[in-house]
Formats: sequence, structure tokens, C-alpha cells
Amino acid sequence: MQSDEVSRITGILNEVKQGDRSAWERLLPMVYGELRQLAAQFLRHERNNHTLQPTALVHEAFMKLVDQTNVDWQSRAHFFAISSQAMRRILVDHARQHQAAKRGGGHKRIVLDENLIGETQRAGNLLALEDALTKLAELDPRQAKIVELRFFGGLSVAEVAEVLDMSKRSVEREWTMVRSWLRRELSDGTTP
Amino acid sequence: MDDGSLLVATRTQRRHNTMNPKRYQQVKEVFLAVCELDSDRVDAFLDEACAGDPSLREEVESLLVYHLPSTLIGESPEDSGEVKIPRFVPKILSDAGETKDDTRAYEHSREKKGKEERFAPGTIIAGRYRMLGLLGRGGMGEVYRADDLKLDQPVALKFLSRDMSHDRSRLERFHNEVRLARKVTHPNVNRVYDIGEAGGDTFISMEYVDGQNLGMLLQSVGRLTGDKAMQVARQLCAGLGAAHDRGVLHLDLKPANIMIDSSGQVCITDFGIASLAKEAKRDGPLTGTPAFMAPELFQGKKPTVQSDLYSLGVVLYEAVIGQALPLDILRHGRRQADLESRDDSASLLPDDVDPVLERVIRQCLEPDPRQRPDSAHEIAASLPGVDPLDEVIAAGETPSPDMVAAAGAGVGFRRKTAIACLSIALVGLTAVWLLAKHTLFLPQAGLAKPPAVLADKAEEIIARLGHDMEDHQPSERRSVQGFAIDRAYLRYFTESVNEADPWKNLSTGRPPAIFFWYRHGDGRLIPPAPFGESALRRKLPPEPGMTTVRLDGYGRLIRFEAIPLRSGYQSSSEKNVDWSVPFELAGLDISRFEAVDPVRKPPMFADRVLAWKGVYEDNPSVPIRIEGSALDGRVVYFSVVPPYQDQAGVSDGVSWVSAPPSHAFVLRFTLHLAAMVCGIFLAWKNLGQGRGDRRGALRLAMFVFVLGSLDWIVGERHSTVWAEQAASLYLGLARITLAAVGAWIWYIALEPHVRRLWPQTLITWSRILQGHFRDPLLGRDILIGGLFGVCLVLVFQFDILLPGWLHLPQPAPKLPAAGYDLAELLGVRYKMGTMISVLLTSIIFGLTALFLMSLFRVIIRMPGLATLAFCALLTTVFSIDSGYDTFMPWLTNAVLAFGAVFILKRVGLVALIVGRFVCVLIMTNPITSDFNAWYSASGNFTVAFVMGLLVWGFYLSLAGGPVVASSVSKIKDTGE
Repeated sequence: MQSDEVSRITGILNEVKQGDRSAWERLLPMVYGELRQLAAQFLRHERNNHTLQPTALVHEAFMKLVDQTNVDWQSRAHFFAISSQAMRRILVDHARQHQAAKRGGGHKRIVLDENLIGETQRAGNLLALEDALTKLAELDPRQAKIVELRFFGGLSVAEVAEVLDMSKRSVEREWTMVRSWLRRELSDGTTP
Repeated sequence: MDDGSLLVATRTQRRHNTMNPKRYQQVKEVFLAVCELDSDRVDAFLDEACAGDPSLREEVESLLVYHLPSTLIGESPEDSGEVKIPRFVPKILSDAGETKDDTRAYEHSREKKGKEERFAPGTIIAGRYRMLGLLGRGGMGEVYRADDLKLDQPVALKFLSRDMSHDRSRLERFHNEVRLARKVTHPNVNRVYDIGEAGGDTFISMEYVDGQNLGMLLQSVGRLTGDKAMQVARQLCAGLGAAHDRGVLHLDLKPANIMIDSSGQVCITDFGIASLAKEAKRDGPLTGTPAFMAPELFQGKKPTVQSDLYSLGVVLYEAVIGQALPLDILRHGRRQADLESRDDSASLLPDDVDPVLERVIRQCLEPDPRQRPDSAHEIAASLPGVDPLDEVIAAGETPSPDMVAAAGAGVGFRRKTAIACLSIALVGLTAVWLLAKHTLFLPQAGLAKPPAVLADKAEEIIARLGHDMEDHQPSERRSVQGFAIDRAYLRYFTESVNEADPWKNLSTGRPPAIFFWYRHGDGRLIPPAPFGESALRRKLPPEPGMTTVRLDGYGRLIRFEAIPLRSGYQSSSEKNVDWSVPFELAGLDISRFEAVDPVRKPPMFADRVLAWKGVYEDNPSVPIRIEGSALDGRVVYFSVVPPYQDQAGVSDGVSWVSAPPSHAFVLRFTLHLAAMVCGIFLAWKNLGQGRGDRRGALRLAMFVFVLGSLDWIVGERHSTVWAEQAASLYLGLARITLAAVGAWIWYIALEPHVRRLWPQTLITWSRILQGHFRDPLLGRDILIGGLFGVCLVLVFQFDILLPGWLHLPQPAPKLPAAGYDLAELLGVRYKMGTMISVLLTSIIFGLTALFLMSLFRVIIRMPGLATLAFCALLTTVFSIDSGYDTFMPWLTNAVLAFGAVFILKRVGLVALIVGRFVCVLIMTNPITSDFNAWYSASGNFTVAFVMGLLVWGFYLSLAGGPVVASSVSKIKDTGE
């Protein structure tokens, strides 16, 4: 990775932080490309007992793409927010591809970490999650965004609050609600 | 091998049709407000917030079901800035569909894994099985249909997935499945044959069920209707109960794991995550299928039988309704109340669902495990149709203790029968009470004065005879006292006196049939009590410093024995003794007695030995001899000897001289010893074969221990001397422990035989051992047993009265069987002790009778002859027990023995125990209708106690409702 690209991305990131919406649009494809490359690498060397952690990839991308001496934590949050959106696309696209490759319908089953949904719903379905998020985006876009940031970007409550310009308290409240909502949606899908 | 998601899909769709962003915000508002509330205020808040908008409330509540407090799911607090990061298994993006995650939710997924079948049809593996085709795929592997070529039988082979066969924990679990499933042999449980290996693949061979699973069946038929549902429920209960009997919890009961073959036979399969109940842990890995798992499992509690019963409830709900259990009910205890009270719940259930089944489902779905039925057997027993216990007996099998206990659930008495029983028993008891004065021994035995007065009198006598404590420091003075029966008296008057009514002088105390003894001294006064005996009955050999006085019930001296502490004896100084004093104390006039040569030596050293002979003034027919000895001018020995004591030497049952053991004692001792040896042998054998009811035995042993301890605490005479008390404690403990251990051994040894031969005798008993103390069945047994006990006493009484009416020689009044000291005469504490020990001995008696009967049945193979032989034995024991060996009312005792066997076989063990308890209680207490007698309170308390027991039994027996319950409302009354 050339250092000029790093400084460019860092610069764009600082613009994003200033509230420049177009900077966000410019940054997304760069992050997306990098993340997809990383994910593909990871999946090629799939090891049986390794789990793919989207946030780990996002971190890796962050290290590669951003000059960390030159950004504050808010910029980092914004980078992760962008990455989460990219990550979601990558994972969902991948799942769709493979589902299409197989005969017939049925959702590809994946396993989410138990902490995601709570112990009653250890198993989830990435595409079911995607469906649910799409549905949620219609009902409450902000909640859908919170889920995206937290699930796919691994953002903390404080970071979500920064990115979405909300108070920590409201993020927490929304999170409480959406957790229950998702559990319900996903549990319906996984009940055998 | 899976299905069933259709049901939930429709529900989800229904919900979202009405949802829009505005509505969503509304839901969010209410939901978040509820989250802030304490749980007890939630309902009220929802009532207000969703007034007039039930669908809003439904939506919020369905979300609340999934709102878990963060502590519950182990999440770190949100404000810490940390987020648990979702991890995706790498394979989600690759081809292989299997995951390493240890969950079951997707184990039975029906989707194709993009993998071809491992074996082409026709392949022969392990040189034995010809593969026929894939039956299903699960998370652990695939199930194939195959032919066993060696035995020419179809089998099912379950293969562990290739990528898992190197995973040790998976393999271990696979082995575990075989191990556990093999423990259970039952037609309703899928048989697992063996584990095998072929070309690196591990597989389990098991019974092939030619049919479909319940889930598939429900998909095709919608729901099971009345009869079919009942059939399936009964078989499920039987299969599940069999597994539970062996301590195996299934933990994954769901329609997909229930196979139904073409003939309708139900078969529980897949013990893949089953666990031994005793090995199940709290907070273990959460395994199972969430939709069928009991709520307590989500809270990390230890899985129990009741967890399986919850799953059973969900399965039955799905089966009879044809829909999945609504999720809000499924996961939320709070919703359970709504299920009960919801008005439309009745309409939810189709009309042809049997109300009993409905009740069972409701009970199984109770959020609190303790509210659910005790066992699958209990459910089976409550279902109409064939009694599972009868079925098992008919099949020649041995029912499990749980199954025996379950057979009695909810069974009571018909109201009319109960009332009849109670009235007869109460009338009988009244008759006993009225007749007692003329028939029972104690009220006629001349108990004129209470023990306190007699003790005072004894002290006075000791003082009058010059032994008033001069030898002792006042602080060291101690005394013991008690009543005793002179059984030689009864023998004498039964055998040797030819009068129409030899018992007419019984109450005059001339001669005395009952006496009060009083002893004081400064040494040991309380001898250690041997097995089963109270210290009161045994007395130490006399020691220096000990003075013993015997009085009759009126306080007249019968015997005096003193051994001076300091002899200070000077043979030269012979002083005169005024013999008229002891005569006066004995209520006799010395001038009417003629001096004779002494024939017996006094039991202590004396320098003067004298004897007189004469008769009682008020009963001249009985010749008596008086013996007196003196030492150093003081009376040391004085005894009024009736003729029967002359004959019997000094052995009168309470003497210190070691008498040869009585027949009764020898018989008992031999039986005890033989039973102990046989018991240990049989118990060892039964334990080896896993047949004994360990839980029941342990509870019995604990019960015996507790009762024995209470008996020791309340009924024993406690010493103030530390060493003596410690000795008594150790002995008491040893005795109680021996009894408890003995009970345990015998129970393990013989209970399985009884359970096999006559399980019905153990129903109430098993229920009590399981903690059902307020059972209608217990009530019934108390009522019948109490009635039996009262009848026994009445039989005894008529046995006394009848000869009088027929002008035959009058038999002796009925006295308690040998082995009872009259401690209850000494006060309330001892009375309590007697009651406890009577209860304890009754339990032991009942068990012994039952076990002996089963032993007879095992040895003598003809049932009728065995019963007859056992009755004969019982008659002999009763006759010998009646105390004076030569008089045997054989006929009466035979009647009693047959009665006891009848009660035992027809009603059960508990009834026999209660019967014996009531009978002995009445016989050992001074029952009298004469309220002036000092002991009338004690006797009448006993009568009142028995009356209370009967009424309590009556009350309990009705609580269960009618035996034959036909109307729905009555069933609901009893069930809830």
C-alpha cells in the first residue's frame, strides 16, 4: 500500500468527520475494495477452527488504509462505520452467490456468535439477518444503521453515537429495542 | 428428519402485514417504557398504554418475550463501550455446510448439503450392512437405511459426519448416545444396537422404524384427533417414563424425534444429547431445540425429568392443536397465567380434545418445574384407558417405583364410601371406648393413684424403714420409676384358678397384676437399653446404696430391697426389728400371719431372714407368703410373694436374675438374624442388577432414623449424669442407625420382589416416599387402615366378652403385646415417645409382613398355599406375642392374621401400618370412659387422636374427587 494512498484516505476521513457527505461516498469504494480483498484472502486460507470476525478484517483494513497518527477516535469511528457498510455487502453478496450456486432455496445457515443474539438464539442466518435488516430499514432506518454498525463494524455504543450524532443514551435505548426485535425475527426463522 | 417451520412462518407473516414505520415508533415507545418498569407493574402499564388497541399490546408483548435482561444472557454492560463481536464461522462462505458450533438448532436441517450421499445404494459396509438409501441428515451426520445381511433385518445406521469423526468430543457424544439409549429397553423407545466402524466412519446401528416422524405426520394430517392423540400421548409417556426410570433424560423431545410406524406404534428416537439425570449440570452447554425447551433451561438451571415433561407438553400441544405453541407462551412464564385465563383458550382447543389431555398439557407447560407432574408415569396413569400398571403386570414386568407411585395420582374415595368408612370407624371407636373398662387390661389393673403420689409414697416407705438417704449426699440422690405388668399373674389366673370369673379381683390389687417400681441411689440407675427396648424396663443389678420399692396401684408395699452403702456391720449388736411396720405399709396385719421357715434366700446380705404365710383379708382365696430380712436392725428385704411367684422362682420378667429367653424372644431374634443375613445377600444381588429402589430406600432409612431419633429424644429417660447420658446417646444412635441401615437393606432386598408381585400394595407407600403427604390415596388408606385397627381392637374385646355371654371361663383382659413398657402412664413426654415408637414399629411390622409374604410367595410357588402359610406364621407370631405363652386364642389370631393379609393385599402396605398403629395405640393406652380415673385424660387423648386421624384421612380422601370422574368440571377441580 502506497503511503500517498494512505494519506489520501486519511484526508478524506477527516473530511467525513467535518460532515462532508460526498467524502463518505468517495471513501466507500476504496474501503470496500480493500475489505473484499482481505476477506477473499481469509477465505482462501480457511482454517477449520477459525472464525471469520468481520471486525477483525475491518481493523486490518484500518491499519492498512489509515495513517493512525493523523486521525482522532472520531475519524476512526467514521472509518469503521463505512467499513461496516462495506462488510455487510461483502458478506451478503458472498452468501447470495453461494446460495445461488446450490440447487433450490433455503437459507444458507450460518452461525453467529452467541453474544450477538443471546443464548436462546445461537444460530442465526446471515441472509435472514439481512432480510430482517432490510425490513427494519423500512420501519426504522436509524435502528437498522445501529445494527449494521454494531454487527458488521463492531462499533461501541459511544462510537455509534458519534457516527450517527445521537446521545449515548438514545443509542442504548434503540439498541435495547432492536435487539428484542431481531431476536424475534431471527428466532422465527430458525425454529426447526 | 425435520420439519415444522411452516407453523412459525405463517405467524411471522401475519404480524408484519400490519406494520408500518408509524406503528413501529408507537411500538417502540411502549416497549422502551415497559423496559424501564419493574416486572410487577408491567401489566398495569400495558393495560393503560394499549387500551383499545390489543394488536399493539400483542406486538409489544411478543417483543418483550425476547427482551432478556443483560445479566441473564451474560452480556457485558452496554455503556462500557465494549461490544461482543459477532463471529462468523468461515464455512458460511464456503461450500461445506457443517459447522463446529455446538448447537442443535440446525442439527436436523433438511437442506441438502451440496454433498452427495456417502454411500451409493447397494454398497456393503462392515461386511454386514447393505446400504439402501439416505433417510435423513442431521448436524451430527446422516442416517441411512440398511439391511443387516447377517440377521436379514432392516436397520437404521447413523453415521457421524466425516469431518466430525476426528473430533473427540463428537465421538464421545456418539458413544454416549449408544450408552444411554441402551439403558432403556421399551417398545416406545428406539432400540440402539451397537456402534461400529467402517472405513474410518463411525456409525450406530439401530432399530429401523418403518414410518414417519410426528412432525411429518402433523404436516400431512394437520393435527391428531381425540383417540389418536390419546394413543400417542400414552405411548410417549410410557417411553419417556421408561427412560426416566433408568435415569436417562432425553432433553431433545420434539416431533422430529418421535417416529410413528405404520401400525401406530410410537417410538422415541435420538438420544444424541441425552444425559443421565444425576450427571446433568447447571449452566452446562445449552443444548436442545429452543422451541421445545423448558424455560428453566434458558436460565441455566439443571435439567430434570420435569424439563422433559415440558417438552412433552409442547409436543402434545402441537399434536392436538396442529400448531406450534405460541412463542409468547413458550418462553415467558408470565404468559402462562394468560393461557389459563384467556377466554378464548377453550376455543383454541378443538372440541374433540379430551379434557384430561388438555389438563395434562397445561400442567406440563407450567413455567415452574415443581408445578409440573412428577413423572411421565403419573401422566400416563391420569390418561383414560388401560391402567399402565395393569398393563405392566399383565406383561409380567416389574413396574418402576415412579410408575407405582404414579398409579395412585388423584385416586381417592367415593364420597359415600368414605362417609360409610368414617362413620363405622367412629362408631367402632366409641364402642371400643365404652367397652374398654371391661375388656382392656389397663383400665382394670387397679391403677388407683398417679405416679407422683406413688413416688411420694415410696419415699415415705424408705424413710419409715430407716433408709432415708442417710447414706447419700443430697445432691447425689437420684431416682427412677416406672410401671410394670406382672405377666406371671395373668398366666396363673388363666391356667390355675378354676373360678367363673378369675379376674374379679384384678382391680383390687390383691394380688397386684401391675406394679409401680421406684428406685433411688447414688450410682448408675439407668441401664443401657438394648435393641428396641426402653431403659425404663430394664433395671440394673442392685448396687450398694440402691433402694428399690415396689408398690401396687394403691400405694401398698409389695417388695422392698435395700443394700446399705456403708455396712458398718457388727454381728454382735443384733437389734430388734419391728416387723409390723412393713406389714402395715403393705396393708396387712402381721397378727393374721403365721411365721414359717424361710425358703428363699434374700438377694442381699442379711443377718435375719424370716417368713410368714397367710392370705389377703379381702381376697382369702389367694395364699401369700411374706419374706423379710434385716441387717443390723434395719429391714433390708421385704416381699409379699403370691403363689405364682413362688412357682416361678423370682423370675417375673423384671428380675435381675437372668431368666431364659422367652419363646417370643427366641423366635424374633432368629427371624431378625435370618432376615438380616438374607437381606444383605438379596440387597447385594439387587443392587448388582440395578433393581433396588435406592431413592425409596434412602428416604425410608432417613425416615426411620428421624423417627428413631425423635423417639430417643422424647421417649428415653435422660440422665443428668454426663457419662450416663453420653453412653445413652451412643447406644441410642447405634440402635437407630442399625434400624435405619436394616430398613435400607431390607428395602433394597425385598421391595423389588414385592413391586413385581403386588405393585398395588405399594402405591400409597411409594407416593409417601415421593413426598405426597396430602394425597387422597393416603387419606383412603388412613381411613381403611384406621377402620381395620379399630376393628382389631373390637375383635379383641369381643374375644373377652363372648365367653362371658356363653358362660365359658373368662379369658384375661386384653393387655398390650409383650414389649411395651407402660411409659405413657408417666407423663406427656413419655406418651409422645410411645406414640412415635409405636409408629416406627408399625412401619417395620408392615414392611416385614409384606416382605415375608413376598418371600413365602417366592419360596412356595403356589400363590394360595403361600398366603395360607404366611397367615399361619402370622397367627403364631400374634399368639406368642399376646404375652402368656400357654393361652393362645388361636382362632382370634387366625382371624386377625387373615384380616391383615387381606388389608395388605387389597388396600396396601400403608393401610396395614395405620391399622397396626391404631390398634397398638389403643391397646397400650389406658382407655377408659371413667373420667374420674387419673389416667383418663391420657386415654381419652389417644381416642381423640385416633378420631382426628380418621377424620383427617376422610378429609384427604375426598380431596381427590371421585374415583370415576366423568364430568369435565370435576377433573378440572381436582387438577388445578
